[in-house]
Amino acid sequence: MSLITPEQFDSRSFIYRKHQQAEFIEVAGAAQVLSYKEQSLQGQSGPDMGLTDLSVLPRFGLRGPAAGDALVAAGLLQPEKPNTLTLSDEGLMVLRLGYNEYWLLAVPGATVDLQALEQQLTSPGIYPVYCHDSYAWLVMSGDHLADVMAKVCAVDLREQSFASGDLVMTSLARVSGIICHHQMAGKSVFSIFSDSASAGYLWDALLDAMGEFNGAPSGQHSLIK
Amino acid sequence: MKIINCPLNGPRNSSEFVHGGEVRQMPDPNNCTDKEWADYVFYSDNQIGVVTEWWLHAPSGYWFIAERHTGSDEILRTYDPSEIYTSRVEFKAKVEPSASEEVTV
Amino acid sequence: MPFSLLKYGLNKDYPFEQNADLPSPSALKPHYDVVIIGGGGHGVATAYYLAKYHGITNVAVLEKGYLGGGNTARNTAVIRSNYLTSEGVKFYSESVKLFQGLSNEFDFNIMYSSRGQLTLAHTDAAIRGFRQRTEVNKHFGGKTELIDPQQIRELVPSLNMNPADQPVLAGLWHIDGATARHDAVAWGYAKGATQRGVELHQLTEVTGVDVDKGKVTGVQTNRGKVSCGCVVQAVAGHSSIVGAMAGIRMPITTYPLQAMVTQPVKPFLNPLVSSPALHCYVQQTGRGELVFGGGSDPYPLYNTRSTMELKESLLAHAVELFPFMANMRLMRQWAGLTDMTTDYSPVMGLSPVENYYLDAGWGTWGFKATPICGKTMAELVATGKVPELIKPFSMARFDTFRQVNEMGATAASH
Repeated sequence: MSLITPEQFDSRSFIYRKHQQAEFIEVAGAAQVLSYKEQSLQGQSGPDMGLTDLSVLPRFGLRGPAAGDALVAAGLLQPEKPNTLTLSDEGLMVLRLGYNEYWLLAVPGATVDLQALEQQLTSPGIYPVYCHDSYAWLVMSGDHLADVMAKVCAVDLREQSFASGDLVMTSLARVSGIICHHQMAGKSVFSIFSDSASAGYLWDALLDAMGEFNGAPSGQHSLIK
Repeated sequence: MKIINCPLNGPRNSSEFVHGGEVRQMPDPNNCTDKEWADYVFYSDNQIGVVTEWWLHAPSGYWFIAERHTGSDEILRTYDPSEIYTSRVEFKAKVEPSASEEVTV
Repeated sequence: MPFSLLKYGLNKDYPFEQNADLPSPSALKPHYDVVIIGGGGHGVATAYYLAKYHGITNVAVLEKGYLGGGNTARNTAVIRSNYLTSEGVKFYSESVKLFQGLSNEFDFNIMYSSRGQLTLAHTDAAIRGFRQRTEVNKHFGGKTELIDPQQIRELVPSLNMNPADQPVLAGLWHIDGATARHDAVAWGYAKGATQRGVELHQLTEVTGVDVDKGKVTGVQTNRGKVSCGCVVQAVAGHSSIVGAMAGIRMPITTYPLQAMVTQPVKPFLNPLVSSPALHCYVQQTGRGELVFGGGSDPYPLYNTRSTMELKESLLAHAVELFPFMANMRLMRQWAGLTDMTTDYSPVMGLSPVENYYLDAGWGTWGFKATPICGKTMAELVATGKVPELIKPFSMARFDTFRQVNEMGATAASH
């Protein structure tokens, strides 16, 4: 029996009610799904494809003409081209959305202090972007990422045109979203950010699309080495 | 589906875009006549031919400019607004005497 | 019912009607008192009332295609007056009253069918808007009520009361709502007008407007030049283009509006049903076909091509309203051009050019106004004074920021 439940925290994922029979751990003042019970019964061999809700993990954004220079000054790995991302060894992911907007995220198991960074990255010409409570963060993992996404998204997301380190802002399952191709636990995953208001719909729609590839919800343990 | 070439995101389905109206010179709202302002807000040439328009790529919140033919629906060119607008356009409302009094109360 | 129809029914022989067709085309005269640009419903209605009430018959209606072949034939033939503003309600109510007597007046069946129109509310905000429209309508003598879900179920048993997870909370039941055969309206007016001496010139395109010292003096056409005392412009879908010929810039943007029709089935749907929240309206014609209309295209265009995405979303919503429609086949689909104004009211009356009268900005609300437009525009031409009923719709209202906002009163949000 899990001792930690989402209801214990004021900060919750927008779709926490979808995580039935899950085991949670406390992350950044909220409950993060570690694993789902049914899967732990099945032993090590989980589903072929997983969908993980990382919405509670810390992140913040900044934009403006001075945002890019501020990242460089802070010694962070800055994505050089628009619509790309970098992921540092400490688990700091930086998304560059368009020309002048950056999101900084801590992936599961990261050892970076995002709060300190957020305070450091302020200057004239930088405006904050609130991407935590307004966006859901879902991670799709497994071998058929492009095949699943082809069912809900018109952009070609196969490896040859959407390499690791690329991101696209497009519509998927008819809602707007950001799809990021990066590595977690040595494997390619797609991080998907979409409006929190439609997160429940998107969660169901993606699981539905993943069904034919033996997809299921999975906890963050599957994303950590 | 029609495909629009976004200068930032590349070719995308037209359903990802929102039309933002013609690119027009805004008269100075504080000094222009009512007629000039009405013309800017309501009136349009609305002819068949090539128009220069604002478009928004909604998923990325990116505004750009497109040249489109209103008869054939063909998009001839899309480009970043920096080609036309080199600096930020500021909007300064005229402070009405009565309004400033209210602020000080 | 027109008595001649009864005569048709009782006659053993097939009754051949003399003068059933329009007079054959003649040469253009060098001068007309009135030139009407556009041979759609509004144009021929104006000609009809000019001849009938004002004795002005030296009139030419110039149509670039054929009679009623433009947006008169492309609308979805909804007749209603449940608008939002007092100006709008007064105007459209007069139109409904005129429509009711047209078959008798023409001695020609326009297939006017008073079915009632039902608009669905899915939110509290929509109900508030409906309440206002109900009261405004009742105040001006219209028959409009706010009804509850049980009454809606009784009126339209086949309606899904929870379409797209947006429960139907209330309905605006407009008892005066009706439909008619749109072509027949144009034919009836044209017949009445030409019988009184008006000339209808089809395949006659206006290519220029002659303006001398701020006053219109004539028009140029593909069949030569014509001088005239005044011009009425009634070219829905091309208002800005024809207006520009006279040097008039208009508060109009032109968008395509798509519609479609299914195979005919037995009558099951009496009222005209619309849901602004689902951007969709549905009605069954006298022939049994279902007509769907929806929102306008998302950007301005002078092109009547159809797009898959709009069809898809329109049909998805129609199927939400009436789920069994999923099994029906579409027969036709098309688009018309709508001259949209920012306040969803027309542009009528005087223009900056003397003796050049505008009947424009008819967006998605033109067919239902055909008779009253004809009547008021004829009065304007004959007397030179703008009738009270259309004063609020002058183009000059935009210069003084006195819009007549009917945006909330469309059957499907555009």
